[in-house]
Amino acid sequence: MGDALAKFTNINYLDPKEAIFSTTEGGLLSLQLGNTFYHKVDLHQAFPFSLEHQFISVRDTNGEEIGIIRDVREFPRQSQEAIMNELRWRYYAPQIKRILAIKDEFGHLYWDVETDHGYRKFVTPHRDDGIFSVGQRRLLIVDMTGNRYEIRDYRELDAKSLRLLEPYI
Amino acid sequence: MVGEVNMPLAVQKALTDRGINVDSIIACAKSDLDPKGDFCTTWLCADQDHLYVCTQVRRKNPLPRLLKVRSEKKDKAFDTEFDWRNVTDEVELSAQYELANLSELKCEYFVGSLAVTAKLNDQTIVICRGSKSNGAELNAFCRRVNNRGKEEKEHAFFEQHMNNRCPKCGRLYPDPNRMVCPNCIDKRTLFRRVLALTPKYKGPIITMILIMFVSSLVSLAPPYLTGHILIDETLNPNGKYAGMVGPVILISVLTSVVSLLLSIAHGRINSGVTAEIVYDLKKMIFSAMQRLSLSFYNKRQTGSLMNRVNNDATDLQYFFHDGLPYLIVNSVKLVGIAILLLKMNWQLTLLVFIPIPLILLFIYKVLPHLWKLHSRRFRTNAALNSVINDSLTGIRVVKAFGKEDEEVRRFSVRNAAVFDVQMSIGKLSSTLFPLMDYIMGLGTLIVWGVGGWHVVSGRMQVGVLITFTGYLGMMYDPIRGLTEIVDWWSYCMNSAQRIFEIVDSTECLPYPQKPVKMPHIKGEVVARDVEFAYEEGRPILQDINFEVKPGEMIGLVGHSGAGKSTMINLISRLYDVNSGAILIDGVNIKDIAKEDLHQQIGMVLQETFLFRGTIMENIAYAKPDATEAEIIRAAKIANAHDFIMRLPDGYDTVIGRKGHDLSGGEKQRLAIARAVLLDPRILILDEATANIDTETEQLIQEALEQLIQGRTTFAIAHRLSTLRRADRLFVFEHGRIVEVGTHEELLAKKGVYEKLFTTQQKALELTAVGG
Repeated sequence: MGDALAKFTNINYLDPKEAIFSTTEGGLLSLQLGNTFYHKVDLHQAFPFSLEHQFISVRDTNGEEIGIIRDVREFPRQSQEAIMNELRWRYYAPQIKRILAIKDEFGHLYWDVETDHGYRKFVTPHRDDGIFSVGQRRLLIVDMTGNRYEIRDYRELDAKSLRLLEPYI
Repeated sequence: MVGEVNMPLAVQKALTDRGINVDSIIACAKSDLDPKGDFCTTWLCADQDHLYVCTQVRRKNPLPRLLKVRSEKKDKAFDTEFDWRNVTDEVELSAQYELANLSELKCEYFVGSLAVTAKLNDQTIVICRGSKSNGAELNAFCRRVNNRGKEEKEHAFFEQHMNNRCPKCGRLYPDPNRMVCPNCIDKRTLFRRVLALTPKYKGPIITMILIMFVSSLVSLAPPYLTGHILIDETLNPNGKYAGMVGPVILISVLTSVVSLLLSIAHGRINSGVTAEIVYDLKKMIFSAMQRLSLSFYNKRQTGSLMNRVNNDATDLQYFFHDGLPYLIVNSVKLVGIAILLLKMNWQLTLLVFIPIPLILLFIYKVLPHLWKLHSRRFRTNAALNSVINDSLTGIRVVKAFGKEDEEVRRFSVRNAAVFDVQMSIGKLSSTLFPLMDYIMGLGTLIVWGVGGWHVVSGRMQVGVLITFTGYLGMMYDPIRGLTEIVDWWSYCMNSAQRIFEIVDSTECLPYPQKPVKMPHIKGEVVARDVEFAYEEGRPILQDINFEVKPGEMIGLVGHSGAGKSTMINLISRLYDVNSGAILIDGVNIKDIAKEDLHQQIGMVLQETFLFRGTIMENIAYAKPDATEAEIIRAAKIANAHDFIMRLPDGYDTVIGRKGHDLSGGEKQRLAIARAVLLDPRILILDEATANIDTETEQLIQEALEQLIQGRTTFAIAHRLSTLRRADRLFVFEHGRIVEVGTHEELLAKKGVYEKLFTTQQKALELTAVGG
């Protein structure tokens, strides 16, 4: 009975020496764990907003948990890069560098912004349904189709951007 | 358009340059990220044998920052929001795959992006990545390519979705899957439609408008009567009506009486008509909602839908009750006053208009700051209330964990925010409104000054001056009113648009043009290649094939989320399959007459919903014409008769009324009675015995066994042991049926079912030992 219970409660951390992550030619994440090779694994951050490097659940294509990465930084460089690459896609959220315009029309906000991945226009639901504060200064902006944009620290935006954003936070 | 596919010219050129025949392309879809994650348009194109990836060419040397070239490209094929300094409008073929080597092309959704992936020689590869905006289009593309060779009608979809901007004004559609541009909805047509809702009220509405017209004209009289007529013509010994104080006062009294009577008449007609209009509107929205399919409800929250029925209808009520009269009265007054003033003294009138630009500036530039603060106050107050609400409803938890101080701290933070906003509002409005009054007073001062000078020099009579200032006071209000009308108009039209969106929604299951009448279903159920997803990119059921004979009992088993409940939703046609078909007695359920289908499929669900009303009404819900004897018989079969008879009001007990709360097991037995009464040929039991104690389960199990006799039954049960009696079990895993057989056969097979069963047995033992 003890074993059965342990199976449910113990956290199975992946050993950085045994678990070797790499990016496949096809652009996906694979895992060599001892003698088992998973040609495609999925990553799920337990705390995407507060601990992006820690507690990352690694799951197989059926959604079963293989194990947990306690801290990406414990892994060798090659694994680390592969993991971070996968995370970057999975939690893709361009950083908003500058706000060119926010128009409040018809119950929606029409945004025109410059991100670290280029210019972008998008539409969010009005206020509370589109802009979420994560911690003190970080904002997560989710558009109508579920794309995410991020402002790491809104107080570091330039004066004009901040003035445009201010009424909505 | 090339052949049947909508493809941008630049892409056609890129393909033709490589010697590819664009007429053979069967599908084309757009994505918006390059392999580095930068925004850049990518197209996927496919013919019968190949998949091509075309990308926008990046500039080697970005154009200088000063050049403003973004956003203005006219070719709709590109996502124009890209930075044209970095990319050109040229397209090149960047990759090419043989479809013979590719399989399982699909669109995978992640938290913040998506990827089109495929299996290439057993290795999964990423074909392209993109933001979620183009998900629907890419999904359709994958389906089209996977089903190439088979006949399918996806072309219309592509043509529609190739653009995510409003073609008229270039605004992004707020939701690319719902191509409505709030700016370009035709407001005049909408307005006419709103008016068209009310043909039977044409008479009263016209009368009302006439009354308003007359009453606003009458309201213009008093300043003239008490000013010019009384002072200049009556009190003045040289006036036209010198000395006739009595008659003049009498006329003044009469006009005010007429004005009073008119406003009473207007109010009475208005209240009657608007109440009826709102009644009709609510009825229209509600019946439209009943028509819509469940998928419509899945996408929206019930709360926001309830708001729609109530708020949007009420907004439109304002339109008739306040807005329209306000508009008419104010415009008539404004025009009337302007004419009168100009006629009395045009020079002075022009002076009166001096402060108007200032007032408009004030209304458009300064007041919005105040409204913003007001809406912030509203939000901070809501936040404060939710903290109070949380803390008080959860007071047991707060006390149990000794967190009173923490709660006070949480409260203080919110309270301080409310305080701050309140302060700002107070300060701002105590500056703004006196200022506004001052500006308005300025006009009066100008009139007094210039007019006074005119009077002194004998060019103007005192009464005229008094009349002038009287009208002046009446003029600023309509001006302020008319500036608000713009907002009010778009507000009402938005509500109207939302209402019509529901009324016009086609999101109901298409019922057949020529329904097949099937008053007596035998109960044979067949599924052929059924595929289903609630939302794009997340298939719930795939490759479902089975044949069930009339009267057979089928148990559906599998982990939660494996697709069992979805299967049942499809059999009872709460949703339509995405591809494949479900046949009852050999007829596609899409073709069976709605009444016949729902009359002969009975459901007992885990969550029993009882409507407000008596027990009798609830049992007879699906068959309102059932006799009392039938109802009692059904209740007896469902093992419900005894507990009903123990209630003081018997079958007339009103459910939900105080003191008459039923237990979970009792409700469940009422639901079974409901199904028994319907006497369906096909019976669906979805976790009908979950959440019920063992003893009651025994009673329900007995009831169900009675019910199952002679009907085709699909049953889902959490406890596998309850399905031992089933003729066959279908084992679901990840949306597919992986095993079929009787309980014993499947145990012997030592596959998925055996594992499921032994895990459950062990878990039961565990609770028995530990609990």
